[in-house]
Amino acid sequence: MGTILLVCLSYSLPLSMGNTELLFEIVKESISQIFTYRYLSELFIIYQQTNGDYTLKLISTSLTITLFSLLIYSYYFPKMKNKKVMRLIKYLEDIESLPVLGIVFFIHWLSVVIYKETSIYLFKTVGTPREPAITVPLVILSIFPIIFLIKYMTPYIKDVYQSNYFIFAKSLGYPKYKLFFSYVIPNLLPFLENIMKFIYLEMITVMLFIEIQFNTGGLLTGLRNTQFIPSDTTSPQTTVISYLFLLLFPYVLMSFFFKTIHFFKLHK
Amino acid sequence: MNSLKNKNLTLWIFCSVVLFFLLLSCLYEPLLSKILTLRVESIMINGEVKYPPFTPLEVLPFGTDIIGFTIFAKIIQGFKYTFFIGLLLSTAQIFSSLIITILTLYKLGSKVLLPLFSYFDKLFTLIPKPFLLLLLIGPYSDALLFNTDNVQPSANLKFVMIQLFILFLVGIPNLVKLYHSELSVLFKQDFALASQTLGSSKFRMIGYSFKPQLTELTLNLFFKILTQNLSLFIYLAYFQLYLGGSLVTQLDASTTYTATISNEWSGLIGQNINRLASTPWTVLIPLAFYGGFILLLNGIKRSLTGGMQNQSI
Repeated sequence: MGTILLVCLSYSLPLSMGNTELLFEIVKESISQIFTYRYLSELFIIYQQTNGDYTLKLISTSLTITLFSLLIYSYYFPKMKNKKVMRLIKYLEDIESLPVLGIVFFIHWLSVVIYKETSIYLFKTVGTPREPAITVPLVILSIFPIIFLIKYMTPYIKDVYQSNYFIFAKSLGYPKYKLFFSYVIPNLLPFLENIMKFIYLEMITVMLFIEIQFNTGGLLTGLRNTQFIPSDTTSPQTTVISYLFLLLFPYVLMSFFFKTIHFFKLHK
Repeated sequence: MNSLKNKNLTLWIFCSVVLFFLLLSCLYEPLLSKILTLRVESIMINGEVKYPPFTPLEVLPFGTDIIGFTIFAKIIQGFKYTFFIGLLLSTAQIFSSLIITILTLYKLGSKVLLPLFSYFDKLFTLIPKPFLLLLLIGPYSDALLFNTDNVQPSANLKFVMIQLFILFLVGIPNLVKLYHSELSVLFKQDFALASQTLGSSKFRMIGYSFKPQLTELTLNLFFKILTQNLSLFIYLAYFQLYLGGSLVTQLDASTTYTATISNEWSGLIGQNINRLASTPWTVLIPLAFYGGFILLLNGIKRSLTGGMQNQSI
């Protein structure tokens, strides 16, 4: 509801400052259009037309890569020295504070330079909606979440490995991999819950620049175009709301999934 | 002891670098603009007349943009705008959020203000930040359209104020939430409970008992929000919503070049963004300076908060 109001506000405010009637009219019009069966079919058409598959597939692959990287990091964590970890976190903090856009530009430019200098066409750097670039966007999309996840999860990983249970079980001779899957991972999962939703939202931001920079098309390109290409509909705000709904659908699914897990845990 | 000395030294070095750049930038209009080469319209290379853009090898040290303005002069001129706009915005956000957080500690504030700001924080997280800015600022840019024939300083100023106001509003909810959660933890500490039992007011506790913790938190949040604001400036520039307005130059019958008026760093990046393949130095050099500035801020933050941790020990 807040999203609908915000979008309507952005469309009504510059037209007439303080005219609440206009805002009310726009909100009423948008809501009457949104809660219809026809709107649902339009959502599906928008998804198909804007290559929504590409956006969501790339994000979900990147989420998988991020989780896998965290798995590897937490498995090898005990082998790393404390000083080394602290230094790693410091560097990661620095990279994380750099603007996402800078990293997107730099990697894009670097891949073009590699191609120009070596004439080896390793990765596609500029795609089309029909044949979008995949590898380089996937790398860029995964960098920030991996950095963020490692930085955020390190204290929890450290706590789990330093817990009495783990030390005792290890001293009794339990194999490391067995302890990792039966104790370390289950104890890290609750902390991952909130952060996964946040990472998804951050990925959407990065994806916006990737889609534009690599000319791949997708939901975020469509969303951006709503602001640059004049709309052929009478209510452009409804189109913006549609794109936001489509983008936030996986987020809602994720929330629902975690809530279901909690429900079953409580009633076990 | 040695590490504390090293941290102090690092802090001095980092602050000196920033101040040196700031001084150079402030001296640009009265002094440096008369000494430095501002624009190169053509040069002779191997007996041939060449026109802009020039690479960093042709025009030292950083080359020129598509209309011949030297990147070096623009970088020096623009730093003060980036620095002061970022500083002003972040300081205003920190102070306002601290005041709002103090209000949320009282009954009415906790019932009205806190849920409101928490809701806006969630709402602003759900919409991608660059798009949120485009959505809120974009229509105003269209309304106050700039072009070479009709550049009105008042319209520019109005546009900057709108941009800053929206940036200010977008950052506040998250800061209020962070401050509130930290203060809630502090109020549950034993010493805070004892102090409250002895009759200390909430306001006095914030101003006196929590001073060390709040100073460190404020410093951390200030640098966090400053870095975030710098990133948001680039997002704005990416969509050609430059801080300080823009100027459209007609290159030929079909090509136009939109440039930032203030030469603010994010604007310098944004104005050449579509030329990454043809003139990469016009994007990457300002970007490198921008990244360097953020890393310097990180270094200053680390030295400051590290020094404070040592003091408390």
